[in-house]
Amino acid sequence: MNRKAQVEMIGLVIIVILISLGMLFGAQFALKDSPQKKIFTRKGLSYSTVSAVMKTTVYEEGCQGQFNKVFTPQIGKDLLEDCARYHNNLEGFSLYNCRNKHSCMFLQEFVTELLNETLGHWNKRYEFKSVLIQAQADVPITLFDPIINKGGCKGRERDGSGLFPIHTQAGLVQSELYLCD
Amino acid sequence: MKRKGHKKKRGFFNVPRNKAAQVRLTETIAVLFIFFILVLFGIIFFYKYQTIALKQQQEELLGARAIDTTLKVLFMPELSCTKGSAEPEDNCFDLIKLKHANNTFKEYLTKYYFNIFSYSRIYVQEVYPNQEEIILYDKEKPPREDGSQGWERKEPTFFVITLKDEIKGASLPHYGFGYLVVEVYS
Repeated sequence: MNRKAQVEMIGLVIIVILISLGMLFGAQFALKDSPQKKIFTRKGLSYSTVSAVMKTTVYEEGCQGQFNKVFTPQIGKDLLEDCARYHNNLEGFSLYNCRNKHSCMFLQEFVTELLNETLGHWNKRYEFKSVLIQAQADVPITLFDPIINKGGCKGRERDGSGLFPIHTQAGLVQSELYLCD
Repeated sequence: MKRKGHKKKRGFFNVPRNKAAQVRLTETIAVLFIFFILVLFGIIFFYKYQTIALKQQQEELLGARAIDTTLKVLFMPELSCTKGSAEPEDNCFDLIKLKHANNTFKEYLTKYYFNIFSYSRIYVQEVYPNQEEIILYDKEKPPREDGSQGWERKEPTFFVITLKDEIKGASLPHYGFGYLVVEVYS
């Protein structure tokens, strides 16, 4: 190999090294994990939100429904169960009539408000749904339309609250919230 | 008489030898110039990358401090819902404790709470049934010598919580809905 060819080879090697270094830098940027805080926030926030929603006591007009005393039902314990029991006719009867609405209709409206004032206020995308699983039915029944903000989490990196199951007379009610950025 | 002509020495590409040397020298200078420009680009790129990486690392550290402080607040016996020896309730603050926590935090700020929360602002925003804001702790970084703001960034962390009210319910406690905000200063 003559001297000129040797020099050209060295030049080629230098170019290859430079390109490799550039690609390494690029890969370092691309493969960087999501910050730990983001994951912690998504997971913790979704869990705490559903947990808080389920416990919330409702002080609304008409909640006493068929009861003859002032009654303040809890979302998870009372209203979801009532919604599951009387989900067949959303315009018809339910034990509680908060805001003069069927339990399922009220839940959809009220939970939307709560989520809007917290997660929605912080510009988070989310999806919340509650389904009823019955022994005799093959497919879970959606109790009310899923509550979705900003188009939900389709095709995005998301974290969920995990399932929040509640045993009711009508079957098992499972609620879950997905959160994404 | 025929004069014998001086024959010039020929070099590479049939260019006169001294000219060929000049071309080679120019070529070498051009190559070195380009090489040093590439090196300079590399150094600038690396410097920028290091600056961004350092900033990201600082942000991550601040984020980690925010998480740490939030977790400490969430599990504080001074605030969380407890009932005798039973396990404390998850993501739940006792409203009665909350309303008096600020005084306690202020009283023992230097002795105890500053070591836990450092420079931060912690408050609870009630969303339902009322819309009350309860400030628990507020310690901003002191201003710099030139009088400007003592902090550059503040990192907020939000957490949704239930607010237990033992007084409202006759037999069972009532639960409100709200969120905790922990802002740490860098």
